[in-house]
Amino acid sequence: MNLVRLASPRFLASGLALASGLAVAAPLHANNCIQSYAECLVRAADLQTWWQRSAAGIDCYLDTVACVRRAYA
Amino acid sequence: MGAALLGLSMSAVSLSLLADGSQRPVGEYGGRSVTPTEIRVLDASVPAIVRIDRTTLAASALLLSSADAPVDPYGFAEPGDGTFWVLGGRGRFVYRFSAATGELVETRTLADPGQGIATLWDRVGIVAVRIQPGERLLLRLENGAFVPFSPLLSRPAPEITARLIRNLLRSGSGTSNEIPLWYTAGPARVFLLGRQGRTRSIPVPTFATPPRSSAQDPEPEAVLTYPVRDAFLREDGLWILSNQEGNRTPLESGASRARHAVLLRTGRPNRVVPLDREGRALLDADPRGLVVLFADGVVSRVALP
Repeated sequence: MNLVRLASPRFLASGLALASGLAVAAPLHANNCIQSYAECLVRAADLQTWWQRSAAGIDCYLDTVACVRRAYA
Repeated sequence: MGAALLGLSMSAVSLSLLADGSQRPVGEYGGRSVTPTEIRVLDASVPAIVRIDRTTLAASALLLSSADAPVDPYGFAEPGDGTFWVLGGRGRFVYRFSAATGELVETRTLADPGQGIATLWDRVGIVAVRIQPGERLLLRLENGAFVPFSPLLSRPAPEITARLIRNLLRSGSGTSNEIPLWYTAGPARVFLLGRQGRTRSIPVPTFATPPRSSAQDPEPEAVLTYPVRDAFLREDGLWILSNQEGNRTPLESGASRARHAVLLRTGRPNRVVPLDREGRALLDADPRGLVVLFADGVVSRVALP
């Protein structure tokens, strides 16, 4: 798995678009985790360096895994 | 030996029975194992390993201490090395805690973050977080490294969050030959993992009905169901705890969840046991019935009707 690639600025831009769109498109039950993911990516995109954004992007994804896992498991 | 006993006495906490004789020892359920004499449950909220006597259901807690990040409720492993292996930091780390004292003895950083950890007989298994489709989900510790173990692959989905939801894989209690695995979201199906890593898939009953799809709601996760919450395999059959019941997914208002346990046996009709409230996990099973952890934290026996 290449989490760093996901957290690149390019990923963050597309991820923001995806997550923001999903917050509308996804069913109600998933919205809390997905909305948090979108907000997390916004915060990550504001960081100064590529490495900071990468690390923050990974955190966003793993936080979302935890959120969804807690919700449905 | 003396030091170990002292440590145990300092870190173990007895838990008292409720008035009705049942136990409420578990805060945030994080997985379980069963030994010949006791049920062990990870309570990630403390964190602690709750030890429940299989006969009396009397419980005590072994506190897990000194980890520098929160323990994840993603299961735990006991590979027989005198430690509990627990994930922490949202799957970034593996912590090893002494089974005698609960003290942290080692922290490892995972190259592939984990969404689950379990004992695969005498070894540690990890379910990796996957984003891309077609990646091996289950890893096993061999010669100090986690390597792919079974053919189970991450499943495709059109975008990242749907992929995340579709690739949540969980494991239950197994036997000396097979361990049940299932995807949290998707068809009602359990994979029985063999000791060589192969799996066989068996359909299981579901109480979930898919929501009606509409043109306004074309996302695949909108039509996913969450049929299985837990599985407990015995030599004489497979117990399933339902998850979603009806057409409302678990977090929707008015959703009904985990109100049935079902015993599947080859060549015999399924045996359905209704639960009077939401179940969280199947902690033990024998021919007379089940020990169930309910969502309210109570542990109690449920007799077969």
